[in-house]
Amino acid sequence: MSRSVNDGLTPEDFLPLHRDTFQILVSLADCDRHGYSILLDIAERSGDPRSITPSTLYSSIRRLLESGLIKELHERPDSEHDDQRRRYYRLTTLGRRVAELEARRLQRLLSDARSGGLLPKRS
Amino acid sequence: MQEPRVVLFLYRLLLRLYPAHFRENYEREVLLVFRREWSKQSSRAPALWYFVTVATAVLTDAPKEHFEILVSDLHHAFRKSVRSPWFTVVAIATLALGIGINSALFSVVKSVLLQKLPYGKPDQLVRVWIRNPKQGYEHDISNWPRLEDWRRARSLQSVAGFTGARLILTGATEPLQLRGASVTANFFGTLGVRPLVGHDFEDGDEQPGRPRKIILSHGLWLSRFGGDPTITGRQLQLNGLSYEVVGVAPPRVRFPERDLDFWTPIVIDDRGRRSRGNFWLNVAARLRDGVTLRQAQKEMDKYSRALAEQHPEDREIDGVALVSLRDDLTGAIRPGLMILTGAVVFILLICCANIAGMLSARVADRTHELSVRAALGASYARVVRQLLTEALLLFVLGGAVGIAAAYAAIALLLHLAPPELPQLQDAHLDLTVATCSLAVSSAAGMIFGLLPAFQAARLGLVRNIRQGARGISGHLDSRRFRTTLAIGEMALAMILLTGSWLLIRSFRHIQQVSPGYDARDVTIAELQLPGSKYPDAQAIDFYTRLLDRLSHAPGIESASGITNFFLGRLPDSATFSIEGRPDKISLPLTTDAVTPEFFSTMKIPLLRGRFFDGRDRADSLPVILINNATASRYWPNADPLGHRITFGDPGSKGSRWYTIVGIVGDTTRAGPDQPAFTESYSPLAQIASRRMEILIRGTGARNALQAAVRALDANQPIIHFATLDAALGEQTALRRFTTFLLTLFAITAVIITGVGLYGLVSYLVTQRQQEFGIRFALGARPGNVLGIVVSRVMLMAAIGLVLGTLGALSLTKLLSAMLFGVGRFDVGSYLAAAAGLLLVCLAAAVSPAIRAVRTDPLIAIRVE
Repeated sequence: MSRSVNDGLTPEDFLPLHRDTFQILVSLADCDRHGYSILLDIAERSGDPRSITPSTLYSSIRRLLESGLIKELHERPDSEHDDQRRRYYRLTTLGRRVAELEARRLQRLLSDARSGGLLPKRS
Repeated sequence: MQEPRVVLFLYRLLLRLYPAHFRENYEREVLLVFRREWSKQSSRAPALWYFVTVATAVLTDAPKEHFEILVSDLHHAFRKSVRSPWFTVVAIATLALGIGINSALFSVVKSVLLQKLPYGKPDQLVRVWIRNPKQGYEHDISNWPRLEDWRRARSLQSVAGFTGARLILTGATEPLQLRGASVTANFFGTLGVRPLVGHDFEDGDEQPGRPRKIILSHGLWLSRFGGDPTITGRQLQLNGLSYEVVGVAPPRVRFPERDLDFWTPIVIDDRGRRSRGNFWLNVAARLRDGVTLRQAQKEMDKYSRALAEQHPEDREIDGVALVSLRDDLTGAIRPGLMILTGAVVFILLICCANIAGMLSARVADRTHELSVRAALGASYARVVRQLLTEALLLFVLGGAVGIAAAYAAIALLLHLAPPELPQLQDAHLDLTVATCSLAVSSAAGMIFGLLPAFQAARLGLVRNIRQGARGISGHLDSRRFRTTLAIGEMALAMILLTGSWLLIRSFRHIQQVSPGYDARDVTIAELQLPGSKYPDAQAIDFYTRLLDRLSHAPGIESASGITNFFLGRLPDSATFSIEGRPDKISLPLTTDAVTPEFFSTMKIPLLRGRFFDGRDRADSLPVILINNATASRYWPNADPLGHRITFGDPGSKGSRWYTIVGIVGDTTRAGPDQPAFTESYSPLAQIASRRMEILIRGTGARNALQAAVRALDANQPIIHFATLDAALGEQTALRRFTTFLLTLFAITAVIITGVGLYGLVSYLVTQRQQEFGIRFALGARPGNVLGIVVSRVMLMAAIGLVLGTLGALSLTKLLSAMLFGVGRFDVGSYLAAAAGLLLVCLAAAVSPAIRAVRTDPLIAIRVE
């Protein structure tokens, strides 16, 4: 019943990413995390504790799993201090590639904004 | 902040909006995160705000989840459909047939039988008929004095009279024969209709000497006068007289006939106003507000008895019958339509059974796949959802094709419809009806096909994966269920086939009835000379010269005239007396004026005496010919030749006595399924008529007649030109329509049943292939395996046929009135239907049976 939609898709095909999706990928870029940890990380980075709700988070996770951008871990990285009921997720190679491409895309947008005078030029 | 239980409960409730699959996987974690976040809220206000935020997110995300699954399932279903094209095509075609045929016929039934008549408060409108059993008429027409009496009845608000009329329109273009009605001034008022343009007739317009008025039909107004809004007040030349157009009727008003051109006030002289013994006037009435048909009938019964005491003429009749106008208009078609409605309901049932069987097989077929999916983590609900989506795709496609088919079917019905169907022209596809048919077949498919299969699947999922994939298809319940469905289908198909076979045989009998004349190569046309231009003698002279010209035209073998060739439901007829016998004979004798050549043109044999000839002039001895039915009825042991008869009251001074000079053969002028009337013929020279039907035997009749008429009177139009065969076809059109449709439906039913049966048998063969393989491995011969398959099919067919025969024995009662020359228990028809169905069953079993016989013994090993 798995509905894997990445058959034959290149990383570029995923772009542009939805904001929440990108946030989740960024959150998983440096370490494996469980759902709540992702939510906390995003809240911290965005400065908005309600930037993503629990149901939206897991909807996005489901979609990312199905499209093969993240995977669920069978081992538990931090099993001693951890809630048994939690599942951990890790970026796949494809997911990492997609996140990088999205970051570059955003970077280009930013540099465009700079050259247009919308942002101060880098020193 | 500690979360109150109610908040958690509400959030949990909201999460129910997500698909089951999602909840099974993530609900626990979502709740965990929610509780953590909630506990961080410092006070009630932010907590409340947080709840609103997460609740809104659920409300927007959950539908997206469902949509994604739907898209994916549809995608999957589509791929599945393409991979099993036969299943898809058969399922869609079955649904489309059921939905299409049902929608079309129910739409027609709705517009013909149920649609409101286009008149004000149509339920109050009734036809007032005289009951005249003595003359053999259950419903007979009336006359002016009775209409006046009925106008005094308390339960009738308004009573209108009408009779058919023909007028010739002359003027700028070719003369045009118009069909219309002469009506009392209150005709439109009684119908509750106001003219679209102009105004209604006025009281007193029926009085002789008033200016002539006419109201045009909407059709004529558009076709002849281009919808000119300033038409009122214009003078038209009709029959050589001037008529003032006072109005135009609304478009759907088509009463008393379907194709009408005009209405004009009926003009009645004093004699017509007094004469109570004639039958010529049709009457319609409107019931008073709050009066029911039954109450009105009761009052009219009482009133009729009182009238019979005052008037001796009324003792000859048996009061009046009020018939609701709608029933009266649809009376002829109603039995046929009811039978066809029953037939399409059967087709829908057969389609439902087929769809249920197919879907049930589909689920059964895929139990193994589903078991594997379930084992790989897909929830049972998810599997069900997938299957439901697949079924839904079929229903939607079937429905769409079905509605397109319904449009086509209605067009076909309109094309085939006989003229007796008064409101069929207004028939259009009723989408409610189409939706209902779709809903019924979908619901049936779901309830009877998928549900039991799912239940079986639920039980079998785990077991199946252990058992090595035979699936629930081998499940006895499922097989029994499908077998029952197939037997039911066969029974229904048998009923339809028997009914249609009975109608076909009736129709064939009717076609074999000898009409008593030779219709081949005969053309019939109608002429109506205007009275203003052609008094009696001139009319006779016109027709004599016309026929003389015609008979000399090249290609014309013979030409003659008769006042009415076809005898309608109420033919021109009269009571008569035989000289020397005191009793007045109330059974009517038809009287038609003919030209001498009529019998030779139509090849009607002379049995005794002589035909008319040049001796029979206006001033010579009045003579008459009678048909064989009249002779044997009234002179069973004597020779009627030389006897004299008179119409009307024999004692009155002016009575005219006709001497019988010959006896001619009987004809079926009233229709091949009607008994021969008691008929008489008079020479046109002695009974003048301005309206004549011209019968021409030979080729080039149309041109010859046109040339001959033009040579005599360039302003005289010819009405209604047709070959006699075509005109005869119209007589049996309604019967042909019903027979054709019922046969079409029966064939459809048999085909769908055959397809269903084929599906079932192939299925059973697939099921038992392993067993067959083992049998072959153990030395069974092909004949043994063939015997297993065929005996199974034959057993099912036998049960279906027995049930169907029982059903047909009781249901063909509804057909009784339409049968001719064949009883409803006609063994031949039952055997033919059974044989036909059996043949289809065998045909359906052939290919699966061959497959069974060709089973490779190795399959026994391979499957495991």
